[in-house]
Amino acid sequence: MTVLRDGTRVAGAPVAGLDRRQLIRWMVGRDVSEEFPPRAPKPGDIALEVSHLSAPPRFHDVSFSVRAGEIVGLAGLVGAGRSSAGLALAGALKAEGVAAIGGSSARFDSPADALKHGVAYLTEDRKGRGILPLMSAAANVTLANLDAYRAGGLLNTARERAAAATAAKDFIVKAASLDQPASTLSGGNQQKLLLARFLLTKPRVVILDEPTRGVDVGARADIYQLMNRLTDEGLAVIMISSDLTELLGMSDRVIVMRDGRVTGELPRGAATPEKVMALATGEAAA
Amino acid sequence: MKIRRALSEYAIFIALAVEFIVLAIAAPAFFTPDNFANVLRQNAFPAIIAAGMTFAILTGGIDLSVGSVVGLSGVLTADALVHGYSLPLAIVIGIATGVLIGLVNGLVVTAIRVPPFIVTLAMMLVVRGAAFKYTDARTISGLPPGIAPLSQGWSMAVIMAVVFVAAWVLLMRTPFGRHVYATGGNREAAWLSGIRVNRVLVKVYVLCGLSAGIAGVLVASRLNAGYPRAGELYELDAVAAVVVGGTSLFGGRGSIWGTLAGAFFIGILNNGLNLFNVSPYDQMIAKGAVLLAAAALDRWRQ
Repeated sequence: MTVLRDGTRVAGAPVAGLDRRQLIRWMVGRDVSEEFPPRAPKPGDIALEVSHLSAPPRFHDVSFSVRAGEIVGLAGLVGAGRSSAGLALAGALKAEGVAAIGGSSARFDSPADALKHGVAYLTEDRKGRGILPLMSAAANVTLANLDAYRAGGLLNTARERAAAATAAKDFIVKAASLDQPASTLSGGNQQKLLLARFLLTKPRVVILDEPTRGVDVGARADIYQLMNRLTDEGLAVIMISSDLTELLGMSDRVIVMRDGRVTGELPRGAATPEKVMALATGEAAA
Repeated sequence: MKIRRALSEYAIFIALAVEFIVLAIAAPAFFTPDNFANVLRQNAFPAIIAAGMTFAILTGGIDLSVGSVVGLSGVLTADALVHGYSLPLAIVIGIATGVLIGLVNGLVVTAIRVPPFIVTLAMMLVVRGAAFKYTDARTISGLPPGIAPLSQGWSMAVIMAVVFVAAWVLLMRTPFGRHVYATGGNREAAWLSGIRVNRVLVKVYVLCGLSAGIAGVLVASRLNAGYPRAGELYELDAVAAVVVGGTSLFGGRGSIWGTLAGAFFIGILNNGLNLFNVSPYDQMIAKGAVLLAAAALDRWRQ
């Protein structure tokens, strides 16, 4: 097996007798813990409260809440309605019901509206609905926040540029240059680009839909660290993931959906893969 | 990869420079002030329209109604003058005609989600029909002398320069411009990032109408008449200028300076072929070949 990193050959070794840790060390260039970083959640006030949210036929009567500083995982099989619920909360899908953010009503008819009120949604379809492939990494980062760099109608490109550079550093985006098109970055760096883009708008709630799909181990660890940092700063996170290990490793609470309905809620300690799968499939735990 | 990108990005400027040098050497009549003024006068209209068209094509759309807008806007401007309205008012009427038609284009494109190609094709017919109906297919002549200077001497060059600088500022130095690129680059991603994509599109078609309205007024000035056929096929010249200028028909990539260079590349090509007494038919074939080459280049860099 040959290992490439940042465009150069780092190592080569026969597969037989190759240690997994060693392989990851070569790929990432440092030791990466495959365990999830420890969480010390300090849940604050309720950031987002969802009551009886419905968008038939995708999901029905979904109710839950997320507190500031908390990571709530949405578990379920593909097609259970988790992404649709996420899209509805972010104003990208019409739904009936009530959502309240920080106590006041949060019914958004567009993502623009949702962002203005502090709800951001990071798509699961990074390539199709996330990055702007032709735009520079810098422009991708500032896209949702351009109004902040406006001076009398015009864009202050120096200020925009500085903000992009700071955000890229904050969110550990690795790019040879921020001028390179976003399409040339790795999946992990594209994901961090999206994180930076939406977090620049200073949301109170962020919905991460499959945040580590197609992301290599190194960037994955970075994203988990970022999630911890962001919740420490008081952000409320809703994480949708089909990777059960990740969901259980990072969530403070897990909400399980099946066929468009919430079938259960488990606190961190009680959420075992067996219990979650039982709620997700509707079959009794073995 | 880098070379390929740079090459395709600057292809039109290189081509324009080469064309200029070749003609300057080969055709003595080319490198003269008279001929330059001539080239400038002839190509300012298509260039101004192409400036607006650049916005539409950057969003992945197109505006085929601009040629007809030139016709109607010129007719209404001329008619206003003949009826004794002041020159400024007549100019406002001509430009407002374009803006209004652009607004309708934009609203229809976003509200009923019909592709811009079809919407603006329909509008091209409607507006041209309106120009014929309004004039009864006759030319409105007998304009007061005040309007003629608009399209003479340096004023045309100045107007064109103002249009292009304004377009550059809008595209490169405002959030709106970035939203135009984003909408063309990945509409869904732009929308999910909080960009009100429909508003962007409406504004884009208004800009197309605005630039066509300005061109309409200038054409009326140039012809010193309101001619209902004016501007026929201008939409195709504008699209050609934008595409030859390196803006991608797929949206999201291109530049306003490329469009200016594209318009003048085609214009100077015509001029050069004229100087060598190439027949108009062969000129059309040459123009077609250039357009095809530009579109192929666009494909190649995808």
